Amino acid sequence: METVCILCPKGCVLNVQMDSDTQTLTVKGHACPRGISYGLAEYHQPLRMLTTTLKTNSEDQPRVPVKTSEPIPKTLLFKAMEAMDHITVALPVKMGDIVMKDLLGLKIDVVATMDFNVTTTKLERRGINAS
Amino acid sequence: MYDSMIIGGGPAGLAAAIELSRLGKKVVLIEREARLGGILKQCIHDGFGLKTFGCSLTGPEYAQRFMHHLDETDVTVYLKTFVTDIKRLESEFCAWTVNRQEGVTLIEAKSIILATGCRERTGKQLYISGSRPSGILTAGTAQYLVNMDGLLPCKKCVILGSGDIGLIMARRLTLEGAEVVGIYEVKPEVSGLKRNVYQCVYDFDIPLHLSKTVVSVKGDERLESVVVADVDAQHRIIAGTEEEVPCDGLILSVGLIPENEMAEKIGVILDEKSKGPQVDEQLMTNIPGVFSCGNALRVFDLVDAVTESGVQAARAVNLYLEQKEG
Repeated sequence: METVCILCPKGCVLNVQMDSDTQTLTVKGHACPRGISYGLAEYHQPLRMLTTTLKTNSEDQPRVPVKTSEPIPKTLLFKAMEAMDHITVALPVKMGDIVMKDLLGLKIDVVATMDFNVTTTKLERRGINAS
Repeated sequence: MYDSMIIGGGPAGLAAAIELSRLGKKVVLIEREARLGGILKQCIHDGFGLKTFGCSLTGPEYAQRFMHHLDETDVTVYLKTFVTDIKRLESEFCAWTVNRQEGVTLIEAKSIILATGCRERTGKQLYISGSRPSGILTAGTAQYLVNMDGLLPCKKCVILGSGDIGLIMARRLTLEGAEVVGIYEVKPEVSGLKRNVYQCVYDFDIPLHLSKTVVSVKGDERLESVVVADVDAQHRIIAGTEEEVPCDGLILSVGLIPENEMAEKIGVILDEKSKGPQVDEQLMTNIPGVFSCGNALRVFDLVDAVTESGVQAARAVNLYLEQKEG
């Protein structure tokens, strides 16, 4: 199986082969060790990070960007999108806050990737934080 | 009087502001939007910061980390503030800014860092014939509508150009329920990163057509279809290969151009080819005290390089100020 590693911009072309005698998988073409585990995962069960946005309770900031805390099976991407559809995030929210627990029973959470409406006293003191 | 005025609060401006403040300089950062972070705010996908942080972050996370650093400094930040003009006085600079709270204000500084980013090439810069229906937008605009406003700009779209933002929007629109009927690239190879072709296009079985382009658009109020055709090695349309593709959206991912309107106003000489300012090895333009960094200087592939150029500009400004005052 030939695939491209997506872990960095280099984009190594990986070749994953099953040795019929020893029944072991070998990964070739990787420039760093992370390519091996990526290649093996692509063979068994491809995983992807899911990044999307969720609704908020704020008119000014209608969406908050989120991601899965870990990569999820590629085959579940659309199911995960559907499961997140009905979630509304109450602001303020901080980067890293869990906004949805245990996505699809995968033991993987959905977390916010940016601060929203978090008051930092320092920022208010300087400059203009006009509304 | 500030030691340095940084125009633009994206990754380049943030990095420059933090570094200059660390070097003990009095800095003002001016941002026209309500929040810092620039384009990273809408780049919700991951893959940023492998070099800077050693891990894969989303665009908002990358920006947020710098915003947290900025909070630790005493940089003065102006948000929702627009620079309308810059004048060069004897040995300093004066910027006219406008915002809703203070109206027109003058800000003075001994140096300027232009971190104004880049803009997308629009449909008007391409040669596509036809009427002007709604539904034709740049990939960045589509990204803003989907990721910031939560609006889906089309249900069935064609993407012209295979730049990274176009590939990423192909995946994003597909996940949000739109159908991407095809990506058309005039060149014989994809212009975006290989990993984006895999995880954004192949993962979702989106048809990718090389050496093909959009020649015309059809529709009155709303886009109804586009006509695509094969092109030869010189990108000339091959007659007889035209084909009509029904769609309600045409998304353009056809290149980025450094934004230097403000630079030109104060007489900064631009490079014909890159459209960014001509700079010396210290990132200083032909005007002493005016520096350029990030995508305003030239369009970078990775945000890590944008950050690096911001830091580099900050160090150069520090050296310039020391030499001037020394």
